[in-house]
Amino acid sequence: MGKLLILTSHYLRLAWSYKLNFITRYLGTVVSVLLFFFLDRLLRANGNSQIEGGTYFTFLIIGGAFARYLELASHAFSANLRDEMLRGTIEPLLATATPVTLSLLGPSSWALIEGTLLVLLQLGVGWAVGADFSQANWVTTLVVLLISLICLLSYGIASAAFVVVYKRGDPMNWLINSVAYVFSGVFFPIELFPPWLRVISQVLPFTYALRALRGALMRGESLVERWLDVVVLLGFTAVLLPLSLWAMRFAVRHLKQTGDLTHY
Amino acid sequence: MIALNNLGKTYGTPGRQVEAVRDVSLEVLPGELFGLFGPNGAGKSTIVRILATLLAPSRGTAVVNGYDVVRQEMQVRASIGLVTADERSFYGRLTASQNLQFYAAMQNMPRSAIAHRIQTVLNLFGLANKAHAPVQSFSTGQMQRLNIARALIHDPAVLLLDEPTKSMDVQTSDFVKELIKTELVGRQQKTVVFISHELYEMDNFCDRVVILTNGQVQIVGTPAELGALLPRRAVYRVVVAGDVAAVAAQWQASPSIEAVQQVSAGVATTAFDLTLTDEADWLAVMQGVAAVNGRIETYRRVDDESLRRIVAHFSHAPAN
Repeated sequence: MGKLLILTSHYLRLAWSYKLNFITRYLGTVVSVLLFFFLDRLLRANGNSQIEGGTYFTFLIIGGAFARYLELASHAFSANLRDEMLRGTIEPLLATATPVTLSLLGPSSWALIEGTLLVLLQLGVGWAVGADFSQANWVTTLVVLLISLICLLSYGIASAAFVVVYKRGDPMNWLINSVAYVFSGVFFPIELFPPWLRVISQVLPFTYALRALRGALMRGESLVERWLDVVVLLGFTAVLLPLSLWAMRFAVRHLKQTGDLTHY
Repeated sequence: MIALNNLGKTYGTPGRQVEAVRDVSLEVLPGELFGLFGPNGAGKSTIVRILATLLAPSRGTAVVNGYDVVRQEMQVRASIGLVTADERSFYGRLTASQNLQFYAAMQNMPRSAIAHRIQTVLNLFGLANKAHAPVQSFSTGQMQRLNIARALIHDPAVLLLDEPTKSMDVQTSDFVKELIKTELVGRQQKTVVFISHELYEMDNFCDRVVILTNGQVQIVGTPAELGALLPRRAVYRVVVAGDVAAVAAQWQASPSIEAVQQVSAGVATTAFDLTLTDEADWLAVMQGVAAVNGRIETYRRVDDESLRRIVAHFSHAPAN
């Protein structure tokens, strides 16, 4: 835990050293809320802004915040590891008295915390400008978020393992960028898809996470009411987490055999 | 302090394997300045990376400071300071002090001791005035000095230096080597493994040197011991005056001279390269010149007496 704190504060310091980049990330979050706000206004002007028991704005704010976290969790590990490799700092870090897995995943610690802050900022700004969370069931929200986070981190860990072994060609990022964004119902309900496309949504854990989150935040549904989503999400996590940890172990073993983490 | 026993490392997949290190067995004593020398691809960096636990050996064992590099890698990493060949390996936007602070913390140094230790190592390497400057403003030589300072930050017993003076000018390189020899090895009794593929780096510096070629140990010893193992053949360039023809004839008839080659001829003097079977005969050869009315104007040894010749001999490659 101590090492994780050291890594987090170091990477916060490093992120802050790029001040403009640091500030624009937060500004970008606020701007995305404005985008959702005016999309909602457009629909209202056409007389249709209600969706899944709430406003389209609330629907988008939740979807947007979740998408941000989805992207972050899948990219953070691989992107930060790649940065370390390009900078040449990964080898000195691996030569310290720190477990190898922590040296490989630790550089993402601040990025994940910052991602959480950005999600909270997005929800907060959204609430301030009209997103309706008055019905929210916060217990369900927290439980679903926690399970989703572990499930998303599994993708991130697997992604980092791919970077260690293959350097490029990370299928996890492809999965998130090309498939999950479209098929998980981030910006529109999956019910809009024809049935044969909906099959893709059904094999993505993010679909269940987002559905449960929206149920909890927009309609105040309890864990009992969302039990199916929660169970499916738990099932995905139970499979994906050990798989990702196995992939990471394989990657570390590969690294020890080849030692090629200094080349990218 | 460091013991390698039949150490081997093979890269690649079955059918396309490269044996980078083959059955290397050697011992580095506590407080020794040990040179790892060989041409590119000899396996020097692979050995150091195994010692730093960055690579797993394929065969054999390696023990550093009493710890096995495979089974006790955390203890090994706490015992070593690694200087990588890449001097840019810092967070350029952060200051020297902030960089060292991070690595010190990652090496489990107590928080209360870090600031003082940073000051100590920066002073040692003449970087105290750059403590609060971003590393991206450092010259290449300064970064390389900071690289060594980083390796020392947790006061390890063993230093693994992979071409530590690679990017330094001659003066800085001499300063750092003097620091390694007198302060780190001489006073602090650290064990240092020093990698270089430049021979002048090892001469009059390392206590012992191992010569590696194709991943195998060719020989281990002090530079003097290695030199003593060489054949006693010697080549001199001699400029003679007087009866040059008679001198040349005498040398050609001499059983102790293997070859006589005229290099140049002037109005009054002629230069020859003489190859002696045994360098001990040189005095007699010089004294014999006067007997045939010749006179030696100048002479000098022209074969390479440095480690280059030793390497060439033990690796069966021609010296250049």
